[in-house]
Order: sequence, then structure tokens, then C-alpha cells
Amino acid sequence: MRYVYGVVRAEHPPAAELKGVGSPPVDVRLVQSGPLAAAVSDVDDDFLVEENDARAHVHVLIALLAGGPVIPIRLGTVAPDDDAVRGEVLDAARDDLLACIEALDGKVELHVDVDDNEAEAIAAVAGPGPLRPGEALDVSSALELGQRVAVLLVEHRQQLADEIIAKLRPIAIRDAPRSVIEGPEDPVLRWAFLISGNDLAIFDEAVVSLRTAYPNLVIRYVGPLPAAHFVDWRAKPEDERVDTFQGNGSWGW
Amino acid sequence: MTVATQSVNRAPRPSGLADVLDLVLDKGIVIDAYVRLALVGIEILTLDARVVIASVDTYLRFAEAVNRLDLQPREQAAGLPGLMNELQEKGARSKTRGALAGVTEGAKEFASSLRGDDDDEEEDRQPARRAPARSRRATSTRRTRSQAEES
Repeated sequence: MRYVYGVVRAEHPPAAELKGVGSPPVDVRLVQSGPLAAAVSDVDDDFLVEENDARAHVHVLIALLAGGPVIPIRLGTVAPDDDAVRGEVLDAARDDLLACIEALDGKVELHVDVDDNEAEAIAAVAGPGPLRPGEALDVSSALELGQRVAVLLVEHRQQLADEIIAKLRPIAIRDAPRSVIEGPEDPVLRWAFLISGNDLAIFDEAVVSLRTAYPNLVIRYVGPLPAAHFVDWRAKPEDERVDTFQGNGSWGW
Repeated sequence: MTVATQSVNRAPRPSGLADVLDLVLDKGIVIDAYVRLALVGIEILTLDARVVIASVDTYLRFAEAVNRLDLQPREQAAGLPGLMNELQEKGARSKTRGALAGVTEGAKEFASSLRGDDDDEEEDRQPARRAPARSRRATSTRRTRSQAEES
């Protein structure tokens, strides 16, 4: 079978020595049809995705990104052979894929993750507690105190998140949250930014400035990544889908 | 959590499995019917299965953290105006409310467990702030489940 990683332009430079999923991993190659190509590698018929394969999938997409726009395909997508990849992925969805790849051209995704030190953050928002040495709060009072601290903590983190996004958003084309953040156990920020590849150095500088401005925050910065959060893909309704293999187990549900 | 030495570098790829799956599972495009997801055997973080309301031990940890800030003079207390006095007055009569309504049973259990190691708790409150015993990460309540998406 063929494991499918993503779709690129037909003229995309072939990835040299790029290993894919499976054990042992084999070389990733491009299967062309018309203006498009799919990055694939061979896998056994009983292949099942494991954690290392998920990492390999992302690694392949990132490596391909250096050569031009890449549309990520969902983890675990397999096809029986190269002809099926051409006919039923590249040709069948050609117009949508072409529109998608044009929209992504020259753009990359960056992730900015921000965490604080909980104890420091609590000290900043709550000030000293009510106890003198030797005193103790009963559990109900402690819970109430903790709950009020949680409200202040969430507000504080939301404010930090807003400030950080405000610094980065002007550089980005689009931006999007990567997880819902609203509870007291949530981090300060998990965000994706779509930027022009030409603005990478500017974004780098902005992140460095943020790290200087917020020395108590841990700001992780990842990229450039394929623009997974900014692919505008219109999935067809279930009843329009076709399983050309008629449920014979080669693929389909 | 400790504040790591901060690097000016960009990481080339996500390191956590959740971030990896975020790119190619939640967001990777689906080619019509042709997704035969060979995912049996992978433990998938369900990013949407979250618990917004923190667990009881989180609130207790927050309260404990506040009470470790005793190095500052009391006059400089800020951020929780009136709360401390109010709590002192209410004392044992205060009840949990609001978001905690559903966890009172848990609170009682936790109370029992606290009574079990009172001595340790007293030591913990002694002179000054210490690093929290647990990081927030460790008590994060994002659930995991194994998911078989194949027929």
C-alpha cells in the first residue's frame, strides 16, 4: 500500500533521502498527476499508525515545505497503489487541491506557546495569604480562597495572552487558537500564526522582544510548519462520498 | 515548573505528541472517502475532552501557594482586597459554592486525606515559599483515550 503524506505541486523538488512511516522506514517519493503530486511511501498491507509514524508524517511535511507549499493530508491515509493516488486523490480533487495550494504559496505556519510559572503568577495576582505561622485554613475556606485565586489567575493569563497576540498579529496574515484556553489549569497561550515566508525574520525579532519583555514567561516558538490550521478545505457531505473499492477492505471505512 | 533558560531559536518541529497530532490528525485534509485510518494502537489525545473547572487539589494548591507568600509585610497585600479578613471571619462556616458545587464529595475526601498528613502540611507552610510540589502539567486533566477509528 501507499501511505499518503500530503499534496504538493508536480514540479516540487523531490525529497532526497527522506524517510517516512513504518518500521523500518522507507524513502518518501512523489507520485505526479497533471499539475499536482502526492508525497507517498510504501507500507505493508497491515500497517497501523503508531506514535513514531505520526512524528514521521510531520517530519516529512516539514521537510517538503522547504521546496514549496504543502497540503497536509490526514494522519493514517493509505491507498492501494500509485494509480489510486493519482486517480482518486490528485485527479478527483484537482480543482480544490490547486486552489488550496495556491492559497498557501509562500506562507508558513508558526506556533507560539506561552506558559507561566504558577507560583510566580499567583504571587503576582494574589499577594500574601491570610495565615500567620502555625495557623491553618479549614478546607472549605482554602477551597474558596483557591477558587478566587483561580479567577484572578485566569484573568491575568488572558491579559498576557491578549498583549502577546497584539504584538504578533500585525505581522501575521491570519492567526488562530490551537486549543481552548479558559480554565485555571490552562496555559497562557497556544496559538498558530500564518505568515508570509518573507516575514519570518521579522516574526523572529518580535518573539525575541517578547521574551525580553516577559522574562517570567516561557515562550516556545515552533516553525516554519505546513499551514495546517489555515487550509480552507471543504469536505464533501457523507452522502456524496464514493468508496470505489466497494468495501472490499482495500480502503474505505 | 521552572523557568527554562530561554532560547532565541525557533524549534523546527513540535515536540509533544498532542502538537504533532494537532497538525496531521485534527487539521490534515480528508480526501473524501479515501481515509482508511490505520490508527488502531495509537493512543490519541482528544484535544476537546477538557475539564474547564479545576480539580479540588488545584484550588487547594492555589490556596497553599498564596499562603506561602508570607515573606512580604502584610501591609503590602494586594490583589485580593478584603478576602483575607473575610475568610478569617467566616472561618469554618464558609461553604463551597459556584463552580465547586459538584465537587463537594471530592472535597470531603480530600479533607480526609489532608487530615491524614497534617504534619507534612504544617511543615510545608513554614517559613517561606518553596517550589510547588507539583507542576500544573502534572495535574492537568486532559483525558486520553484510545480510539479505534476503523470499521
